[in-house]
Amino acid sequence: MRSARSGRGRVAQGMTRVLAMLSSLRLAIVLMVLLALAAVVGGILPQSPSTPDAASLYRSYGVFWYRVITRLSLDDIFHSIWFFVLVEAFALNLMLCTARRLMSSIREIMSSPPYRNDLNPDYGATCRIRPTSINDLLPTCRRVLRRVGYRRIALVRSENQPEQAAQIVAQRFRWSRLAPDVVHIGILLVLLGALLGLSRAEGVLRIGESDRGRVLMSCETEPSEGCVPLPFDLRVDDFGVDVYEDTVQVRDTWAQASAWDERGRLHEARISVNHPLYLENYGLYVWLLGEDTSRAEIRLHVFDRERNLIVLQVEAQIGERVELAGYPISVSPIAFYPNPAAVNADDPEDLGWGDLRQPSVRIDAIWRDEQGQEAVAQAWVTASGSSLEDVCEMPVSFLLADYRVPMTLDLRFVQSPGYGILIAGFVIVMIGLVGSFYLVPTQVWLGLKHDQLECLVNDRGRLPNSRRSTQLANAIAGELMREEAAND
Amino acid sequence: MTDGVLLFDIAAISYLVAFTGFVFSAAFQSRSVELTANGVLILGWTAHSTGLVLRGFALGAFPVTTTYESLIFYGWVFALGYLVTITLALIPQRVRNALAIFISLLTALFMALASSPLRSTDIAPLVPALRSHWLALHVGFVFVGEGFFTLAFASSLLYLWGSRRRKETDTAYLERLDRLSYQAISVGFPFFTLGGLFFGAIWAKHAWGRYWGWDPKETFMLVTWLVYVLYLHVRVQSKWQGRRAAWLAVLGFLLALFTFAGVNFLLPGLHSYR
Repeated sequence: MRSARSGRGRVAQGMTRVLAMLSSLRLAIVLMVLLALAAVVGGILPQSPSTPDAASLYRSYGVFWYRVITRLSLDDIFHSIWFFVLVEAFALNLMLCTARRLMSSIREIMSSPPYRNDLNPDYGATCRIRPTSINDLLPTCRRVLRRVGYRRIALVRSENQPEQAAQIVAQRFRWSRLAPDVVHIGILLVLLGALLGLSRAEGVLRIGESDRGRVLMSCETEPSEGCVPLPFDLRVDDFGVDVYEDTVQVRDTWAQASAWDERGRLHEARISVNHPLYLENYGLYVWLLGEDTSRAEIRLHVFDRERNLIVLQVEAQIGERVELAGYPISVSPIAFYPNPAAVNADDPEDLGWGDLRQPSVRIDAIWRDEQGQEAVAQAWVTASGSSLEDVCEMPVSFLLADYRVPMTLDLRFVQSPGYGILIAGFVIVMIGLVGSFYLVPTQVWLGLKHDQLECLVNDRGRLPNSRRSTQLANAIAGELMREEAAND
Repeated sequence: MTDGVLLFDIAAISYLVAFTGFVFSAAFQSRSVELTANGVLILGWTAHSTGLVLRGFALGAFPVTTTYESLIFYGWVFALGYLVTITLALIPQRVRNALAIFISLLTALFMALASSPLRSTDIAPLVPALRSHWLALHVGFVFVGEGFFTLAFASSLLYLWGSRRRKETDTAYLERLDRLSYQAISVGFPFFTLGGLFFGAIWAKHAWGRYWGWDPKETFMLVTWLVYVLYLHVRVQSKWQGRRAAWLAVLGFLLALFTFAGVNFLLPGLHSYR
C-alpha cells in the first residue's frame, strides 16, 4: 500500500516536473532561438518551391552540401516535418505557460497589495504634512488617487502591528496583469489559423482574349472539360492594362468580371491588383498579364527570288496552313518567339538558327517535289530574312512583316480557411501588447511616519518609480494644504 | 521643390549642424549649446516633415515607395524617436548628450546615403502592387517601430561601450541606458508588430491571395520580431539585464536593417524593390 502511494507520488512528482519544463520560459527561449535560426537558413537558402531548377542549384554547391540540404529538408524548410514539430512544440509551451500563469494573474488582480514594511526612501518619496492619522488622510488620498486613475483604494494593516500601522494602497490598470496572457492567447489563435490555412485550396485560371464574354461554368454545377474549380460560375467580360498618362508605365492590371453564386445571384466586379473579388469564401486575384504566343497572328511578306521583289502578303495564325497564290507552296507558322534570347537552349524544338536579336517565327514550308510527294522544310523567319535559303532552293523566301500576340490574364483563386481566426488572433495580440506596454499595472502605497507622508509607486508591482512617487506625494500634500486653507 | 528634395537637403545639413552642436555641448558641458543644437534639430525635422508631406502629395501616396524615400523616412523616424524620448522621459544630461550625438549622426548618415548620386530622387509612378492605402499603414507603422528600436540600439551600444570603460560609481548612468533601451523597445514593439506582421499579412492577402508566403522579407521580419520577443522575455530574468540584453537589442536592430536593405538587394522575392 505504502509503495503504491509512494509510486503514485513519484509519478505525480515526475508529471509536475515535466509540466514545469514544458511550460518554462527557458524552453520558450530555446524554441524561439531554433525557430529564428531555421527561418534565417530558409530566408537565405533558395527554397525549392519558389526556385526554378532548385536541384541543379543545390548540386552546384557540391555533393556534401547537396546531401546536407536534401536530407535535412533545408530545400523546403518551412514545410518540413521538423519545422512543423518546432512550431507545435512552441505552441504547446505557450499553451501550458499561459494556463499556469492565468490563475495566478487573476488571483493577483482580485487581491489588494499587501502591507509593505519598507517604502524604500531611494525610490519612494516623502513630504512633510500636518499631523494627522492615516484614517483622516484616507478621503483626501482617495480623491487625489481617483483623479489620476487609481482604483481599489483601501486601507491595509500590518500583520505584526494591526492596531497601529496602516497604509493606503491603490491600483491602476490592474487588469493589464492579464495582458501578457492575452498576447499569448492571441499568438495561439494566429498559429491555429495558420494550421487551418494549410488546407487551403488555390489555383490559377488563364483567361485568353477568346474567353472574353464566355461563361466559365463551375465544376460543382457542371463537371465538364473546361469547367473551373470554383463554387461559382465566372465570366470575364474584358481585361487589360491601364498605363500612366504619356508613359508606358503600367498603372493597373484589371479584369471586368461577373460571377454567379450558388443562389444564382449576380456579382459584378472590377478585379485589379489590391482589389480582389471575394465570393463564396474564395478570393479571386489578378495575378499575371501575359502573352499567348501559341495563338500569335503572323503576317509574312513573300519574296520572289527571281523577280527580286515582294509579291505577296499572307496572314496566318500559329498552326494554320495558308496556300501561296500563284505558287505551289503553302506555309504554316509553327511557333513564334517575340524574344528568342529567352528561349531555353535545351529546348528540343530549337532549330539552332533563330536570330536572337529580333522576333522570330518558325515556319513549315510545304510543296510537292518532282515525284509528287509532299515535302516539308522548316525554317526561321525574321524581319530581315529567313533560313529557307540555307535549307533548300525555293523560288520564294519569307520576311516577317508584322505580328500580334493575344494577351492572357492569369487569375489566381484562393480559399483560406482559418483566415478569420488568424485576424482575430492578431487583434487579441495587439490588445495584449497595448495592455502590456502602454497600460502598465501600477500599485501605490501611502504611509505615515510621524508627520511625513511616504509614497511609493511601483510599475508592474516590481519596479519602483521615483518620479511618480514624488508627483503623487506632492499632489496629496498640495490637496491637504488647499483643504486647510479652505477650512481656515 | 514639390518633390521635397531641397527640404531634405536642408534637413540633412541641420542634422549635421546639430550633431556638431551636441559634440560641443558634451565636450564643454554647455546646456545652452545643447538647447541650441536641439533647436536646430527640431528645425531640421520640421523641414524634413514638410518635405515628406510635399513629396507625398506629389506622389499621390505615402512616400516610401523607393529606396531613396525609405531612407529619408527612416531618418525622419530616428529624429522623431529621439524628440519624443527627450520630451516625455526624464533622462540625465549625460545620457541625453550621448543619445543626441548618436542619433543626430545616424540620421545625418541616412540622409547622406539617400542623397547619394547612386539613388534617383525622381518621383516614380507607383507600380500596381503599391497602389494601396495599406502602404502607409504597413510601412509607416514598421518604420515608427524601428525608429524606437534605433533609440534602443543607441542606448545599448552606449551601454556596452560604457560598461567596458566606466567604473562602478557610474552604475546609475548605465542603469538609465539599460532602462531607456527597454522603454524604447516597449514603445516600438507594438508598432512593429502591428505594422510588420498584422498589416503586412492583411495587405499580402489583399494583393497576392496569401497572408504569409515565407518571402525572404517576411521571413527576416519574423526573425527580427522573434529577437525582440526574446529580448522582452529575457528581461524577466534579472541576470539577463545589462550586457546580454544590450547585445540582443543590437542584434535586433542589425536584423531590422538587414530586413530593410539587405533583403532588397541580396535576396529577391515579391518584396524586392529598388
